[in-house]
Amino acid sequence: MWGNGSVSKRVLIVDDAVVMRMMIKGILAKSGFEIVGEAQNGLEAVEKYMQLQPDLVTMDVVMPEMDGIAAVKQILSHDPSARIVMCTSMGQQALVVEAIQAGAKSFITKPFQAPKIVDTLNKVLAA
Amino acid sequence: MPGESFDRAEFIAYFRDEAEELLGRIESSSLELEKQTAAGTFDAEIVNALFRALHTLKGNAAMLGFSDIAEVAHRLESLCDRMRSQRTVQPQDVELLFAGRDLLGRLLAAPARAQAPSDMGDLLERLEAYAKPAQDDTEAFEAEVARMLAEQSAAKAPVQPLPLQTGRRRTIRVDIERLDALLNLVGELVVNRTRISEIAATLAQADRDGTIAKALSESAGLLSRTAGEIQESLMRIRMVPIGQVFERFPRLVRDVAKARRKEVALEIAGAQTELDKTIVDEIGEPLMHLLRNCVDHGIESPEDRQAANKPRVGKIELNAYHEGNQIIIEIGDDGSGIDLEQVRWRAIEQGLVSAQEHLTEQELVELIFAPGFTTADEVSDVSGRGMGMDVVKKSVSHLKGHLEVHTERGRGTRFTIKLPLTLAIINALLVRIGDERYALPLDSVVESQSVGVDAIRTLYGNEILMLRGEIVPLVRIAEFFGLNIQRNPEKAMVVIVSVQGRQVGLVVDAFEGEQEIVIKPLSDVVGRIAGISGATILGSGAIALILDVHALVSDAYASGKVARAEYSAVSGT
Repeated sequence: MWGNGSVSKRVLIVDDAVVMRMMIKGILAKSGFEIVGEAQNGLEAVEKYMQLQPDLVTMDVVMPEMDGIAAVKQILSHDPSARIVMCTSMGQQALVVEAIQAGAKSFITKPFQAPKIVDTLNKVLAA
Repeated sequence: MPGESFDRAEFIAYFRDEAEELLGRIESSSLELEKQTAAGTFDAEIVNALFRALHTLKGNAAMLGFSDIAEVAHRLESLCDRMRSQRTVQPQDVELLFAGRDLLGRLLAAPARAQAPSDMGDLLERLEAYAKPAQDDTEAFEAEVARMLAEQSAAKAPVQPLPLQTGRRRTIRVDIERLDALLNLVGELVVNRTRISEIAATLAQADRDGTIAKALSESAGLLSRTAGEIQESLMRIRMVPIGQVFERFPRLVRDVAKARRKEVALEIAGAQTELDKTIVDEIGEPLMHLLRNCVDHGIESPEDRQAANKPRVGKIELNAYHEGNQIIIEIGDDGSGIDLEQVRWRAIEQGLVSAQEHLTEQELVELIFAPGFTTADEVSDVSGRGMGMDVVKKSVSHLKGHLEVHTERGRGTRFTIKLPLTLAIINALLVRIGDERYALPLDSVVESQSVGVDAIRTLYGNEILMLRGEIVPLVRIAEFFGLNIQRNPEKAMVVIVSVQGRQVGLVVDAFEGEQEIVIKPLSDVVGRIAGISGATILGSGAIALILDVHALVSDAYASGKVARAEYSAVSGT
């Protein structure tokens, strides 16, 4: 990287819904994050994580092929320092607890406001 | 509601697209569950798939402020939870799922901020029984998670790396309009390359040692090849699996069967078969109508079937596959077949044919495609309303396809639709008439031959040709279009074309070989011309009109008595 300004943080967005990925991407891009990749299920998430080594991952929970919890476990087994934020819908508290126990760093609940996700990601990065 | 820093409107079209897809999945899972209910089995993976689709829909809808959709999806999710925990699916659960799916469909189709449908409250109430006990207390939960996170800041036990699976398919979504725009641009490119070739040729005459002309000509050749390859790749991008259309049929067949008190199993094969997106979009309606007809008129009642020594459950097969440059879609049932005697009487009643007219079996079958023809005594609420078989036939012809039907009393009926893979490129036979080139779609060409004028006979004032014992009416293209071109006094160059078993000989001046052509519609300025279906630009840059073989053949058979006489002579054997 050139210059000495702050380098934008590289994010991998994981969600099985195209629209959800687009929205998260839109919000984060406007807030100065660099979206380095997207994945639509847990398997893809693990692959892309290895390949891209992002600073942050937003991870949906309920997905086909491999769910978000299993993906968190996989990613952390390869990179214990991975920063993953769970991105869940209402009614998934038990799964959030499981993800946190597995090593996810935080969570946000859909529907969320743009400032909420930006704030949550920044906190995780600062920790 | 979403926050201020993103524009909800820009995502709504994508949301609707994805929601349609999710509704399709919800429906197929529900149908699967219904089967299991009937069989008394339970497969948790299907409930999981259903749950995931509902969950995704809920999340998307909530983000974009479609709170009704989110609410209904949420309640249906709870229903799935209960099925999972009790490991059983009740018939009333399936009914609720279908009702919920339909409500979601209507909510999705409704304009933004429309009033919720009147039955929404009722359905939510029926789903109330399955509601999850406690709602999320977000604040307390967040505090709890924060505490957990703090506790975990200490090092964790190392975890064994888990095995990785790789090799997933990589895809992106593209708006079809962008592809169309690109395709148009490539069309321009193709047209322009011929101009460059011409310039190269002109230059070759002026350029003394020929090196510049040679270089330009080589370059033009390369451009030409690349343009062709781009065009082909684009066509491929437009290919999508026909399964997209098939997805909604299990539900359709189920609903129609239920309404008509029939028992029907729909077997689908070849859903992966790919064809042009435009065709996929337009073939749905006609297929839907054919399927409705199979259930409504083809398959007998379970009692009648048993009496006829057939299994109670009728079978409808829907199959798609490639054959050469075509895709074949077949819809076959093992029902009663078409009652041709009844068809004949109906046609006479409706004044479509006269009682004296002798009709072959194939002609009788073809009558079901006549405009306004119906066999129903009363208009049933399923088929027999509005869209008739004539519309099905027209839709298929519009897609440059053919529709054939074979029926056997007591054994069933099979509709076969043959469609081109793409509407834009075809193999053609080029012919010359006067100084002009014309293109004939190769799939309708049987053979071409030069015949002496003495082989041409006249029957009822129309020219015919005897070909292997069959009478083939001739159409002189030049005269059909009213061109002032002298006939060759010694011989005629005849292209034999065939449409649905009917052969016609088209008389031209010369054959000029086969070529792949890109079809361009005649512009709106020119309008429709009888006998011409489009135009194409040849490698030389010249324009060739594409002959509408269907129109020419039906014209030949409709206009002259010769057609009637000939047709009876051929098929009445």
